[in-house]
Amino acid sequence: MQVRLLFFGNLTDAVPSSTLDWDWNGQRFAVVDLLQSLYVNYPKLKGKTFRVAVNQQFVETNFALTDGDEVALMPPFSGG
Amino acid sequence: MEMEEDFLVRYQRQLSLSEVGLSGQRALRAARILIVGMGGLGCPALQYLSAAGVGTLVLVDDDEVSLSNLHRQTLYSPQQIGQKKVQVAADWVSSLNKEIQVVAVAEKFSAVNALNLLQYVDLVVDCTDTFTARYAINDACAEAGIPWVYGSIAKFEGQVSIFNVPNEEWHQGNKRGLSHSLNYRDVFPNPPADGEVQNCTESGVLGALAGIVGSLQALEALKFLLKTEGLLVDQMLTYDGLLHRMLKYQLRSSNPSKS
Repeated sequence: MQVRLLFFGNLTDAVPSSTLDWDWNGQRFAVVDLLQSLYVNYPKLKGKTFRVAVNQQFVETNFALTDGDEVALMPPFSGG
Repeated sequence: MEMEEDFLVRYQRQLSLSEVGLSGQRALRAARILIVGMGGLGCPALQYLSAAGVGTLVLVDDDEVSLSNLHRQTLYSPQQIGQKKVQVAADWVSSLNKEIQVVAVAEKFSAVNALNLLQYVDLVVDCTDTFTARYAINDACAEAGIPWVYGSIAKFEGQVSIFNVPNEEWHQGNKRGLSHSLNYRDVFPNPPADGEVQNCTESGVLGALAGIVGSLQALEALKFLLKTEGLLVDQMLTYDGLLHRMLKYQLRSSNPSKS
């Protein structure tokens, strides 16, 4: 199964592209599991401040993902 | 007072919108807005809010015009370098329309002066560039029960929302039994660590992007005053200027009692 990841703001500095397709094998896969695997692959993400949205709705980290979901990692912006 | 005939001519192009009309235009004239920060977002926000006929504008910023501001802060000119931004901006508003009451406050917005400043206004537009100022705005507005329009930028991206809207001003109402819509602390409970998120000085910005986001903030403020549909209550709009991608996210409090 696969989800599409969108990274915003300063998070794009921690990943190779602002949009990534992410595959996984296994049954239950929650946001928290996704984040754990992202931290392993992109350690600069760890410790950053952000919220997660699935299909344009903010969710908590126990939210269960399904195939085809669009997952956004949204940090607060600072500039003005 | 501007002659009624001039008033009708000046605002004719927006009076003809069903969302504005004479009653909406009078609501704009009666409205009082506090703009915090007269930089890249504050300049376009101020220009469109004053041009639209918002009657009272309070401008807060302790900064002075500098040469490195001019690529994005289009109110200012080289002759004004070193002058207080709020004074230059207030003079600009007065030259545009002497009917507008404009107050220049050359101070940094903080928890110290926040509640005093908020007692004079109906709405705040956050055009600041630090988390310290933004959380001070959020917390003071939450305490005073005043809504505020959020805007911020990161390189080619922007975020816009309206927070802390009282139920009676929000025709859709909320279903959680709360007196106000979500605020910034519901979305991001605590500021990032110092240095984690760069501001425009550190990461760079094109003036046109700041112009777009500041204009979106002005539009949202005007929609609030005109009580139109489609406010970004409990939502965050994101704009990516490189991809020209605009997305709207449904917010949810990280505080379980408000979600």
